Amino acid sequence: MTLQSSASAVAPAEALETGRREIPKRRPVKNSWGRLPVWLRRGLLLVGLIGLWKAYIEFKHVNPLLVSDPWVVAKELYHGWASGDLVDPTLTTMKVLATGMTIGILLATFFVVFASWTKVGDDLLTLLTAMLNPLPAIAVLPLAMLWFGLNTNALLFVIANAVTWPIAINVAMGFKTVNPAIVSVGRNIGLSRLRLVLEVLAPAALPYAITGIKTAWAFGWRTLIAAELVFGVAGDKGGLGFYINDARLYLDTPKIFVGLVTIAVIGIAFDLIFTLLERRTVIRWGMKANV
Amino acid sequence: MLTPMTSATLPYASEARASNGALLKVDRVQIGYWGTRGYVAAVDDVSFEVQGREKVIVIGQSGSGKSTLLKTVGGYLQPTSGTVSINGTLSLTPGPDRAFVFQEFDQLFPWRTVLDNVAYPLRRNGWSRSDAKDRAREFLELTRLTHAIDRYPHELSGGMKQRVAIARALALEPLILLMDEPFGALDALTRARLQRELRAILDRTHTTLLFVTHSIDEALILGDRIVILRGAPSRLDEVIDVRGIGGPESPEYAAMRIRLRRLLAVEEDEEEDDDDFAVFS
Repeated sequence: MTLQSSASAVAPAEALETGRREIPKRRPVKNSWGRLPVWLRRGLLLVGLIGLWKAYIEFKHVNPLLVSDPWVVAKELYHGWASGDLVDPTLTTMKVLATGMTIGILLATFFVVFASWTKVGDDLLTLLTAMLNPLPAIAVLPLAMLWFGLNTNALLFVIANAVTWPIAINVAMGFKTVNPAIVSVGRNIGLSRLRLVLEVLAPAALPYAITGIKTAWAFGWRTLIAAELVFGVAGDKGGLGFYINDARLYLDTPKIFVGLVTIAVIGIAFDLIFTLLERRTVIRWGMKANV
Repeated sequence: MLTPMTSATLPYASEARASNGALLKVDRVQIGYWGTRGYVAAVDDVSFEVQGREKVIVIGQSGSGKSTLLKTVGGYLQPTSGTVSINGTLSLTPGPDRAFVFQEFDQLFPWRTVLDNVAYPLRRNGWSRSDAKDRAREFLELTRLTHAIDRYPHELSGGMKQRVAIARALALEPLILLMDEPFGALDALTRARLQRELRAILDRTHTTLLFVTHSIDEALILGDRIVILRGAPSRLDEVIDVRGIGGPESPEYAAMRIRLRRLLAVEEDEEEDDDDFAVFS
């Protein structure tokens, strides 16, 4: 740093003589923190936060029934995954979510196709999304329990309701805002109606579709955990929400933390997958800005 | 590097030469649209013909309905009355025999590389994967884009994007190439260079061209004949043969330029009406 700045202090006089500016040998870097790779920066921050947590436990002597020691949580987390105690609830939750998402995506596709074919369908979709999208999905849980009883179907109903509308809204918007020039080109090169939809409209609407599925997954995930908390056991197995509530019942505070950490980690993992997917597709193609 | 391809691989051009009738016939065409004040004719009673290998420029003020006319030839619009036919067949829907190059830079598929943007339409028109790629490479070489073959459209400059669109259109071996102010959004230097390049490429490939512009110089550089549209609704004012007038330095060119400027000059009060048709240009 010092070398560079002294070199640039000499440059103006030199520049007057030669008419050229000296180009620094290395790309100038603002500070050393910004020079570290992203994963290291975030990792260090995480370690720092966990350190604060640990310090709080050590120096304030908090009741371990209220806040667990991070070390105990880590051990419990390891045991939970090693023994399979955590694997089952996680798989149960993921399975319900995956099924709910699939139903939601199919429903959304149906609505969007119907909406792009007919004006009635378009109006219907607009009305439905306007009514149902602002409704917190968990609010229909009591109704779902009445209709379906205390079983997985009630959960699926709630999840499907949570994910269908954000996907439908976004994909419909994507179809509507497709650049007319490439549709004209598609027709010019002689594409059939089906190919025009599959090979021009669909990829052109991909940025919106990914955003829709990303939003839908986040909605569905939150809704499902909340529903499980209320619900307890779905069928013969409980999910992660049940796991946490169960731990509370037995005052097993470390397990509550373990459940929360697991939920957060899965959330982060899915966000990462979507980010990677976007980087490989719409960002690479310049259809979405890299933020 | 380009000569072997031209005569051997362009059957449409040779077909056009064989048949003596006009390749494109625009016959007493009226085109209009329904606006807030009811039906409005944008183009009225326009007739002209384009022979095979001929380069015809349609010129007019912005809003003169020249783009509307081109879209009708392309099959995107249907005339209210009259007919548009290519080799005796009515132009009812868009198709690759009337390859279209638009003014918009974003006419390329952003999710396809430059090579795929040119190869994909070929594949959809019966070419095998490898043949389509080979042919795409050939035409990208013709438009001097070999170095950018693996890039995505957003990594190209405006001029390069238009060259890809031109390569894509030419690779389809169209009976007639339709271009709607393809250089209109480019800076003056790039535009001049692309005009010269296009002229050279069309001469080599013997492509028949129908080109819409409001630039007199562009018309004189590219065209064999110039069709002038004027008025509201616009009618065919005159068709001028500009073959053999020489380059921009020649006195004939300068004289023709002045003549066209006079022909295209519009009175102030006429210009206001033109805004009605701005939607088409």
